[in-house]
Amino acid sequence: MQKIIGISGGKGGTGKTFVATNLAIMLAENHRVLLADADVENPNVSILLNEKLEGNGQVVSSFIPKIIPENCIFCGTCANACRYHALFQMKMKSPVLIEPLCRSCELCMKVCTSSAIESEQHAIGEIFRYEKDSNLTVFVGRLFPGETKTPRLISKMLEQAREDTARSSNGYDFMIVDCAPGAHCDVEKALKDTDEVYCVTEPTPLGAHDLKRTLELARFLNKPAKIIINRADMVEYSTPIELISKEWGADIIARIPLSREVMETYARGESLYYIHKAKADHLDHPVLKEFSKIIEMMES
Amino acid sequence: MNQSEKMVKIAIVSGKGGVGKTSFCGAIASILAEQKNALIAVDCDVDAPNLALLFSMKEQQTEDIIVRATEKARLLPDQCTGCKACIDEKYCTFGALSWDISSQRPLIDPFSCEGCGACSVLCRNEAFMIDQVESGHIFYSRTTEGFPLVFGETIIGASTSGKLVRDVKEFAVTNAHDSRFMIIDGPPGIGCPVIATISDVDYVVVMMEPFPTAFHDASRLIEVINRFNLPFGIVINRCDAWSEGRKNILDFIKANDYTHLGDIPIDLSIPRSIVNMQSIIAYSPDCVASRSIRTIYQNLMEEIDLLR
Repeated sequence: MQKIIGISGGKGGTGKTFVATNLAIMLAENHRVLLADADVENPNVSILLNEKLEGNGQVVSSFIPKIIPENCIFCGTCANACRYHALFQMKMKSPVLIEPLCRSCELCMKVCTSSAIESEQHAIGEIFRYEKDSNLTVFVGRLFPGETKTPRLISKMLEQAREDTARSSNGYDFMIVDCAPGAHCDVEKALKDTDEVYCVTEPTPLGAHDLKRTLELARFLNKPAKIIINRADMVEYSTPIELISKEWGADIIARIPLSREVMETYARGESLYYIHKAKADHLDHPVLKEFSKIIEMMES
Repeated sequence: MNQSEKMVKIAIVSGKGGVGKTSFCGAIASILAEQKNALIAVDCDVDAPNLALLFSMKEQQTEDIIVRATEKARLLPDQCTGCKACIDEKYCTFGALSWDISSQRPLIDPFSCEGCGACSVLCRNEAFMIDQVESGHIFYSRTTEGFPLVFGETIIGASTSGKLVRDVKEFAVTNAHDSRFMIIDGPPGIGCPVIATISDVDYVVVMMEPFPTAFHDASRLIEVINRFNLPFGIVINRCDAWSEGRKNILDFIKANDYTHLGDIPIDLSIPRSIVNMQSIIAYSPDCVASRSIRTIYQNLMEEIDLLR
């Protein structure tokens, strides 16, 4: 039985990737886990796992039209059909592509009756896959700077991750999807096939405002949601988050305290869990105890 | 030359989220207002607009404009003959069309639909319509500190952040009147909404933090900024969080001959000011963070004078 959990939350910098990587590492002690980094504009999972993405990943491309001027009869059908105004055509000239406006719908090619448009593949990003250890497989999508087709890259990466889960003989118990901040199409795509959404927030009006938008997105996508408050004791602002929790029927499943040690290990790319497991005091650690609580809940 | 052409547009971005864009942006707006500079503040983080939460609004003046920037396909069931060509010939490259066996008609997934119109153009029975749907709001108000503030907010599920960012900026330019500065709080990331935010500004402030994640994201963002050939300066927030990380950023700035506008140390007055829903300058004018931001403000103004 596989369960897919999306880690979202709205505001940036609330600790989504920190939560996603810690959950993945700790779950991997007893389960097969796939961790997918779906924040393709800023993929940080590997930094927190202290893994370098060596060389090139598998390149993901998307369609752009290649105009064949000698076949063009200047009919203007393609430029008229494009609702994104990505094709610009002057009288008796073949159309010119304004690439940033193209969204790869292929309609121009499909409506052209004179074979003047061919498909060209334009690279938008890359996908990496590696095994962190025998129980933890990681998928990462990374957008090439300057590209904008993030939803396509996210969908492609998650498609491959799911194929991987279907292929592997013993299967995965959990798939964790780390999302981008915000509540836009990227996050929609990342959460599309999840079973549940964990919203990581911070106890401030900004965290609360963006949390509500994520809960709204989760409801819109018909996904049950839960709340994790990070740096819970940074400032006193728990009541508004508790009210949101009640109003939206999303339980607060953990309150992770502010910790200088977390900041330092985060900076060095070290795992808080491994450090304390080596010292055998991980069961008493105030931060790790909160993660254990989440994991117990996930296992039940 | 009209007034808006003389206005200097400054965008604050970071790549990674939670690095302090909104706090810094609010502080710079407060300082400009305090020094009697005419300004307009704009929040282009349309997925999580937070700048307005730092300022009290004169509520009776709030305007709410609904933007219909998204288009989505709709099936006209009476026109559809159930020929299934839309599925068999793969009209939709976004995976928004699927076949409903029970009704023998296509189903449209509104999340996946990008409104390209391929189905409506290609269907021989004209069974698809493209509708404009509400995609977001633009809010316009005046803060109690005296300056106007514009922000956009997407409607959940409408999925057109980049387009709304452009609409918000256009609205702000139209309503800037005699403002000399436009201060823009940008979205996180390096993709479509960020590109829409920075595409026509005069100066970009890149917020960094001495953590590898923030450094990594900001350096990817700088690649994008450099493609647009925009002048930019770097601010290191929480500069004392990790000395080795700060040194890495300073080495990076030096090696590339970039501009370092200054540093902001960790100061719990900042989260407290946020909880109090005030800019740090208004909440605690003499705290460490406020003093460092004033120095950065001076450096920023010198940089901008060089552009004129």
